[in-house]
Amino acid sequence: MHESYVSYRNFFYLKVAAALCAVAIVVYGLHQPHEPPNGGTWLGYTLGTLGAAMMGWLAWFGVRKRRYSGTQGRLVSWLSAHIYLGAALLVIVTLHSGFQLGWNVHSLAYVLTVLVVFSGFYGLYVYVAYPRELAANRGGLTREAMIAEVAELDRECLTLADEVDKEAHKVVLQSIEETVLGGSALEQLFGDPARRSASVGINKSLDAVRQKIEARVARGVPNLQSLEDQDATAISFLAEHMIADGGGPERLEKITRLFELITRKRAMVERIQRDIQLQSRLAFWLYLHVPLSIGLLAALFCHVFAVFFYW
Amino acid sequence: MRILVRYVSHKGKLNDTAHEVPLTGSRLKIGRGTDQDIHLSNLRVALAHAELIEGQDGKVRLQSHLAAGFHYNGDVVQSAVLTAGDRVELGGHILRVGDAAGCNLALEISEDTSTRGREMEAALLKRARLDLGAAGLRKRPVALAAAAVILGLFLLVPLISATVPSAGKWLRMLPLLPSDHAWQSGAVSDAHAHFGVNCNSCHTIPFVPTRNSACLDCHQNTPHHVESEILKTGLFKGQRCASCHHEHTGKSSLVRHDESLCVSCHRDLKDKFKDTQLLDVRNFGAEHPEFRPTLVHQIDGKPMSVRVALSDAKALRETPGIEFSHQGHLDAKGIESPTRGTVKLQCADCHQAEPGGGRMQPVSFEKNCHECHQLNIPGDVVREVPHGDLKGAVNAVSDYFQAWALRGGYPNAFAPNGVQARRVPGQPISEAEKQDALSWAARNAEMTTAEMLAYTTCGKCHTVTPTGKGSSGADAWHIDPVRIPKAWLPAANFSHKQHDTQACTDCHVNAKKSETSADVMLPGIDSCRTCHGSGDAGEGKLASTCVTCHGFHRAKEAQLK
Repeated sequence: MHESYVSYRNFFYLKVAAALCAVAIVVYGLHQPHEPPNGGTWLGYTLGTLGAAMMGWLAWFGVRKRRYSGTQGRLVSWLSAHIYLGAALLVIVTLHSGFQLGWNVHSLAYVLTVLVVFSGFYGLYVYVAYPRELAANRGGLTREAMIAEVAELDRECLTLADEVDKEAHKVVLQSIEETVLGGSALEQLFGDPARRSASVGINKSLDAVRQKIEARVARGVPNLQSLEDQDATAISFLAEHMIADGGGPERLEKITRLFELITRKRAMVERIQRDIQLQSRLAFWLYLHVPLSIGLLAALFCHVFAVFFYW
Repeated sequence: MRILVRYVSHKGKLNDTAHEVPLTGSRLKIGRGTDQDIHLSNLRVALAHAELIEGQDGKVRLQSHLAAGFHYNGDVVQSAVLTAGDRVELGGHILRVGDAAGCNLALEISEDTSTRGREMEAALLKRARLDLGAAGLRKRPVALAAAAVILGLFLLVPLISATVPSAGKWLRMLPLLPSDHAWQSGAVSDAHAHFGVNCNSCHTIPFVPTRNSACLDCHQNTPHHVESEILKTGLFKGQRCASCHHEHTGKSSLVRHDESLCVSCHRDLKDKFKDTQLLDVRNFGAEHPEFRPTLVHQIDGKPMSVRVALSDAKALRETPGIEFSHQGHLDAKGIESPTRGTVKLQCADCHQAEPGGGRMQPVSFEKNCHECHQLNIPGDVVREVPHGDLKGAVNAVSDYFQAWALRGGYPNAFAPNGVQARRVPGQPISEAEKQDALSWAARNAEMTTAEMLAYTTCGKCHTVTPTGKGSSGADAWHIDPVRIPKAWLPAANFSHKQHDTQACTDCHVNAKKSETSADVMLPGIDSCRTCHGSGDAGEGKLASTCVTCHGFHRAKEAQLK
């Protein structure tokens, strides 16, 4: 049965972490050093050793998770412990510091620890918040199926456009070539999926033209000059050109069908863009967590080295 | 221009077929339309998709009519000059540019069969960047770079500044680049700040805790806690200066003020040093022995210091060799001064703190007693004998009477006639009168000396006894030396100045009632405890630890160095 890493073994590691923090806080409260609390008292050294050991173990998770046939317990157990003991680290290192901060390598290690833990919290948040949204957006489809559908729609559009007119084909082809799924990291993370479904501009102008054509067909006599061509796009020119060229209800039907296909494609592209966005947001925290963690291990080494170099 | 177009169609690995078409013209159209010069059949090709244009220099340019452009050697471009070896992808076709004899270029055109049946999808995916990795974000290089920067700035650079003195000097002055100051865990104390900028002043050997020699370079005269004899017991083995004095822990915490350090030994000192005379102590508020003032007694003819407990009323008597009644002098109605009439004396008229504010200055005869207690020779209101000089005083009395004997005119009916009579200038006295006068003078001097020493003058305060060595002269008398201890509690630091908000009698409660100088008017520990508590004393009591009153480095002869 599936067991979440959050509630693994009835929050076992949450309890372990809470107990660890409670013990550390109580001992810190009872400890009365003859100097301001700092990392150099017996409690300071104890908490520092504990914190460093925990950091080493937490970092080992990066290795452990790549080993699919681990013999040291299930991965879900490791992840659960990683999350709760990582959070406990905030308390341990803060007490280790004795609330002393300065412009030095020791505080650098402390600040990096805090950043690593909070980037982990952010990761936990996205793993709780996004999967539901992700699944709702996909609606049971895989991304591959969605991309395949876009490709199929593209082909249908091209075929249809080819039957309409060479200009129509050119414009539709242009719209297809301009469709870019995903994009730069910033576009993936923060771009507007609706705006970034590439056919939107085309679709808008097509829509405007269709209304004009429908109006004209209803009146029976197309009158080009009465059109207000506010969308001076290629497609509106094309559509008007088609009508002026004697385009009648058959062409209108094909164009309407083209509209439908493009609208469907647009919706599907938007879903894919949203899927990419949610996936990239789901993954982005790790691009912070991993470099910060490795930076922290380096700073931790500097910190310990400095302490014993200038003993 | 002249272009040789070679159409290749793949029908299997060994079944490629090809046909060549040479084309000529300054502009050659490429597209799916039937009117195009170079015909490409894929639906993704527009009817009029692009054009080959001959430039003035004879070079051939491919120009797209679609905004989406084409792939030119991997890049998406709108137009490109074609040369042999180029590869162009356009609407599902691959155009390879080569050379051909008699032509500007040869174009080998084939359909991209790698995605046959999925051309649209392949094209879509080719443009796509579906995840952060595809968008160029990387974890491992960034992580390694971050680690490298941190190790460089916070390990390597400080290490250089710590081990290469000349580099360290510069690095510590540079504003942005870190030095070994980045390794500093906390501010250097104020006392050490003036050289603390150079870490190597104290941290002389890497990975070795700060050594005593670094401290003793400056603190060379610091005494040890105990004398050499006790040091031999090994009580302080393994202790360093830095065991107690922690640097970098805040500006003012260099000296330990807590009780625990002292009490760790002094709570049961006999277990550690069985010959100790010191009593156990755990804190000031409740577990500190009653004071045991040091008194000075004359033992076997020599002054000796003796510690007596305040509770031992019988032994608690001073033998100061001088008699004084505080009660008599501090009479509320006042006492008669020969010069100022009635005077009401205050404690401070005699007891003044030392300039540093600590102990009281010794009371001096000249400053504090002489105004009233003048040392006149009886019968003379002018002539005084000197103080503190027995021989001088005895001689002064003798000289005084001999002078009268020789001068004559002494106004006393009991004196011989020759001494009473006023001499006529120029008229010598007879030898018999002279001897008579000098014998009178000697008698009177001896009598007056005895009277002053034993009763009227010296003996009023001092203990004076005849030695039996003759009846006259300084040798005939002995004045007991004064033995007033400089401090009752010499091992404690007490500042009268710091306590001057209190009245003297708040602590020295019996001072105004004391009739004898044998009284020890040292207040007991309970008197201190009305204000002072232990180090953990809460509200209402002054937190007082061992070092509030005692010093650690106090040995008389043993030095740390």
